[in-house]
Amino acid sequence: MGWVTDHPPRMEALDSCVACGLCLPVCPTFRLTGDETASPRGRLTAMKAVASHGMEVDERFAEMMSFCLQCRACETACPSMVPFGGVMEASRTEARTQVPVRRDWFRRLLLVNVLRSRFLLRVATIFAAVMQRIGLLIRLPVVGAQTRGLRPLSLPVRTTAGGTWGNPSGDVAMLLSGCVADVWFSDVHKATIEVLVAAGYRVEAPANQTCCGALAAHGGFADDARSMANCNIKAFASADVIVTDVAGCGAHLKVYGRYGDDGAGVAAKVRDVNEVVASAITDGRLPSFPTSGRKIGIQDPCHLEHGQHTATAVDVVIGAAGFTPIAIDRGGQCCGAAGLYQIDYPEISEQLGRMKADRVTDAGTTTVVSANAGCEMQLRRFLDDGYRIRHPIEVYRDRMMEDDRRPTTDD
Amino acid sequence: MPLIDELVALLGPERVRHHPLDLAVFAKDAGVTSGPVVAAVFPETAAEVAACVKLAVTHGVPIVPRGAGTGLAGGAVPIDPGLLIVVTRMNQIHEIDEIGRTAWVGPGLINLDLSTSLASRGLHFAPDPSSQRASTIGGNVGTNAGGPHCLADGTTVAHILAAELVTADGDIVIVGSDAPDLPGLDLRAVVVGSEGTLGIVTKVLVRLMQNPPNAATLLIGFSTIQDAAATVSRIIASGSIPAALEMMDRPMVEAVEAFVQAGYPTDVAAVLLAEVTGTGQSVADTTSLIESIAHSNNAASIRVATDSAERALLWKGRKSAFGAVSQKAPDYYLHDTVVPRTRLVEVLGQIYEIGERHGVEMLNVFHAGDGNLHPLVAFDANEPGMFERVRAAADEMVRASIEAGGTLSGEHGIGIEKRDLMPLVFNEADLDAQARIRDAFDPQRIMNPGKVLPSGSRCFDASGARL
Amino acid sequence: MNLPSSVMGAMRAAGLSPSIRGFSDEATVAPTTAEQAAAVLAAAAAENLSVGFRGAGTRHEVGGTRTYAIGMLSSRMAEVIDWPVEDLTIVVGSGMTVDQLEPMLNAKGQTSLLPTGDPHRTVGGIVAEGESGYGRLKHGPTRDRVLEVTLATGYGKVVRGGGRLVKNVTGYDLPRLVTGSLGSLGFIASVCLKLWPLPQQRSIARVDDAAAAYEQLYRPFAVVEPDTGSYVVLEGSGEDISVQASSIGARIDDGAVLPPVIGEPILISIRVPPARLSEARRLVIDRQPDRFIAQHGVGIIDAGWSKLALNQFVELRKDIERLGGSAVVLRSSGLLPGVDPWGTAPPTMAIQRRLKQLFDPSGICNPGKLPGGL
Repeated sequence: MGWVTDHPPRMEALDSCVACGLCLPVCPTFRLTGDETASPRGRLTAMKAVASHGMEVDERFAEMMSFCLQCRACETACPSMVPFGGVMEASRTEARTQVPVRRDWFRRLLLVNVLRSRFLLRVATIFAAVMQRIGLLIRLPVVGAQTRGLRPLSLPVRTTAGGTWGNPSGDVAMLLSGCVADVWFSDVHKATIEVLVAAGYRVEAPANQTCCGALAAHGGFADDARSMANCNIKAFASADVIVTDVAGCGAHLKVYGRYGDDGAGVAAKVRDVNEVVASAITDGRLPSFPTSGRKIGIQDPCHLEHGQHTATAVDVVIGAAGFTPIAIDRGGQCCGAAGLYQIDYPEISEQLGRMKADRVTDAGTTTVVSANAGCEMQLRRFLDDGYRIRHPIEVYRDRMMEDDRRPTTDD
Repeated sequence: MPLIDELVALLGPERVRHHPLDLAVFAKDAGVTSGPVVAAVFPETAAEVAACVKLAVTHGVPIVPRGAGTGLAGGAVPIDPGLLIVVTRMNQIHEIDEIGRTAWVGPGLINLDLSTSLASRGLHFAPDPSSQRASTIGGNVGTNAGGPHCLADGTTVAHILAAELVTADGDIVIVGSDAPDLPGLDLRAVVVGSEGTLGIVTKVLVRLMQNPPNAATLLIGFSTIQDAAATVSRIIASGSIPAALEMMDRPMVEAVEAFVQAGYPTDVAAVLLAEVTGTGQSVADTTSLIESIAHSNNAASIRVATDSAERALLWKGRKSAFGAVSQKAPDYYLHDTVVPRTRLVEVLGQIYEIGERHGVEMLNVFHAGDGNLHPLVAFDANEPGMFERVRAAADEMVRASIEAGGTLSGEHGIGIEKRDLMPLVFNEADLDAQARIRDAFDPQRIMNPGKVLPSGSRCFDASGARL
Repeated sequence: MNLPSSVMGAMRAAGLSPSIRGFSDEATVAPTTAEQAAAVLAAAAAENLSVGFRGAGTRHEVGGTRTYAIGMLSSRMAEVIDWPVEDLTIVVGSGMTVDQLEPMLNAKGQTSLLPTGDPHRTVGGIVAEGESGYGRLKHGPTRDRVLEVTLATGYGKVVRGGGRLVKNVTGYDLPRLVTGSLGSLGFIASVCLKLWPLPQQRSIARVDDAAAAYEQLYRPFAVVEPDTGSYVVLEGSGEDISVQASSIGARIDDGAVLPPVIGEPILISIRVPPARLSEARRLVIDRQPDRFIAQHGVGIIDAGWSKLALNQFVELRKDIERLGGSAVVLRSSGLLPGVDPWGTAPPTMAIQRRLKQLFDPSGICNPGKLPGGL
């Protein structure tokens, strides 16, 4: 039957793969299985088989696609520059549309309805915060183990959407409040706002924004992802720069160009907060502090390293904060968090999480920064309590506001 | 019981792929041909490989071994419906002998992973095909893989001391030895490069080389291809053979630079990438020798990199060349001919002329130091009649190489791709002798049949009479 | 011996030759082309007459002394067939001796790296035996430099394998298979060798500990430990060599020469994994050889005795095989009666037997020379 949706994998994207195989060794699922069907090249061949050779989008196709972590390490390795992330999302939409998925309504509820509703997020967060306080959160079925990586959730729930901060005449930096990031990682947003204000920005978190749609797109809900994107394209239209402090969200905003010219206009203005802060440090708008000689490990989120190609900005930020940045596993493998992947393939996710934790242990630093909320949770889940896992901007903010230092509540 | 069921009983369902979509995925390697697959299996031990071989033999299904599938000659593509024995899960480093500088490794180990894990011991595995980030040691053994550094160190066969081999009978034997000059015929030497036609390698004893204490990589730009090629000839004739001598023409440099952004000059007709390794003094001596030869051959620019990160980036560019071609066109077809080094300029000229005459887009990237050419044609297979035109042009290029005293393959192997061109290089008695080698190992012709030799290669009976 | 007229006819066409020393009972033929050799072999195969291949005859005991109906000499195939100097390759007839070849190459700044200790040895003989010279540590074995071979097979055909190119993976590697095959697959008519440029300078330095020097130096030409001391052989510019030598605290000894070939009536080649060389060396010294030459990093010890008790040798071989190696009798001058020259046969005899059978169906080419009596 071939493709049935309006937005199947683009043929010229599939054709740009010459099958050289240089993506194989960087693909975590290929490394674990040795199986071509679990490799980027294999998945592209499967897509081509559907596109041009009469193969069906069947359960096997759906399984091959869902086994991908979408870390996009293959994109960095690819000399043909195949836009793998995009065709994978399109394939997942095809698979979801054509192959009945167990509990699809529940996935949609989670990835779409909850994430785009501030009310439902708040309700869920209050529930989770109470459960966390009485120690029952980690005993929940299916997701309990993952919640070990959460920061202590604040009550009452703090959010940023609708707020404005800083110099009214400064350049407008619009903050993507995001979905779970807003309610679960409010300390990171706080640090981001404080540092951006210090750099002279007027920071706005538009009230009419919503979830970036990354998880919906990754999960094959292309239409929902599109409507979320359209909402954000409107909300962020007047920004000078759009700032995200979650690498996964930033990587997704940067591909809004697929949603038309307005989307491309927004995408062109998106920066990870580390990029913004690193350039402010470089041009003197933010201070560099003398080095303390202490080391901080840098975990490179795939969506910063491969999705945005900006991993080294974190080194600049940490270096300016007075620490020696130590790359934990640059060019290495995905930590296995990968959104809902940890629920779909818990063993693989856990294997990768432990491998990443081992790299941290090898590096010998007890403070680690991660610029992506999901990676942060995964690291905390597989490292013991002796490790502090923070967002790089929190580290910089703390150093910047030395006089005002107080114990952070993150771990 | 059907073969698939027996394989599943042996290995479990997770290690036997046979869904139609799986078979479509496994039908191809990195080359242009595809073939019919019965199933792909992932054994983890020599005993499992032997059991798979015995099952396939019982069912009369040909066996095709496969590593990472980065081969360019179709060596891992079945001709008749075949069982793919994929060795990627046999990727251990079994033992390392630092004094003897050897290691026993699994055939599924990725080439570069071996060298990376040996770095702290100051050792590496010398063959470095461009695919080395992905290709397996087993695949390297199968094709007798080369790479830039084979100029000084030789292709894979010079770096394989022994191998554990599952034969067509399902026996597990060791060919070669960790001691030199094992008494008897050197079966190891013919197993390397046999593309899985003599058996399946399940463990490999590799020779390791010391990492050079010093190294310099020179990137030299030339305004004409002729100047670049003349520089290569002069360097070789000067009596110092560098570790590597690579050349790329302008279209290739443009594609590579777009991906790797290493600062390759894109305003010259050709670049020469030369690497010099050794003790500090010898590196300095040879570097300045190469610089002066390049200057006297009108070099437009010379950049010398001694920092390991900069050198690695330059090499990454060179080793991404084939993949980067897709920026020009979605498909490519290439050959792997070797010509005597002194005929390089002449043959290159012919190759450009042939490309022009057929109106195809040409890119050239090659191991200039040992005369190993990779004339590469970029094209779009969706264009009607295009592939035929490309094949015709490529065949002419092969013939031009052979007429200059050259041969078909320097490192990619023969596979399906060049099999039928073998009579250009060998007469029927020569091919018959090679077929005898194969028959000594696999009289039933169940191991990767139809590869390397054209059909009908055995033309004399045992007494020498014409069949 | 009276040979059938078909065989004599082929031999006459190829050129009869006086017998060489030590093989007086043979009818001897010295062909000038591979085709003539093949014709003689075809005729001999039809009559089941064995043919022994002769170079200079200096190493005729390797693989055991046998008598054959016909001796085939390479002496009239001693020409340079092709030498594109700048390609660093040369094609020569198998009968060319190393003292013809090397000076000619050296004059153009090149070397074959073949062993030159015995100047009378032929290229064909060295290739058939698969012996390597001292530069093996740096440059690998002779086998890696045999690029092309022309062979007159036991079934009477001329076949060519490989090519006159320094890099080549076209087809099965016949040249490497033929190297070290001791004539068991056919008569080597000519070979193409890969050449190397001569180094600017080559010097010998005396060291205290050869094993340590091997570990510390970066790709020396050779680390040799004869019974007279330990030496490293270094290549490069004069300055480079002295830097290398001083890095291991060694001094260049301008008077030193590489040890000459061992001339004792008993010559044993000990081949062990390089990591076991020091152990093997002790085992050899325990048996009090008159001379020995150990090559570190290579794993070969050549040792000579004027006499060696049979049980001593049997014990030595057992010890060496326990190290994963072999003790091969290259020459025994009748002093080690009943000893198999090879020792324990390799584990692949079934395949080797089939190969021999396919290349020499009548079993007439140097029969009995290979392990297992092939």
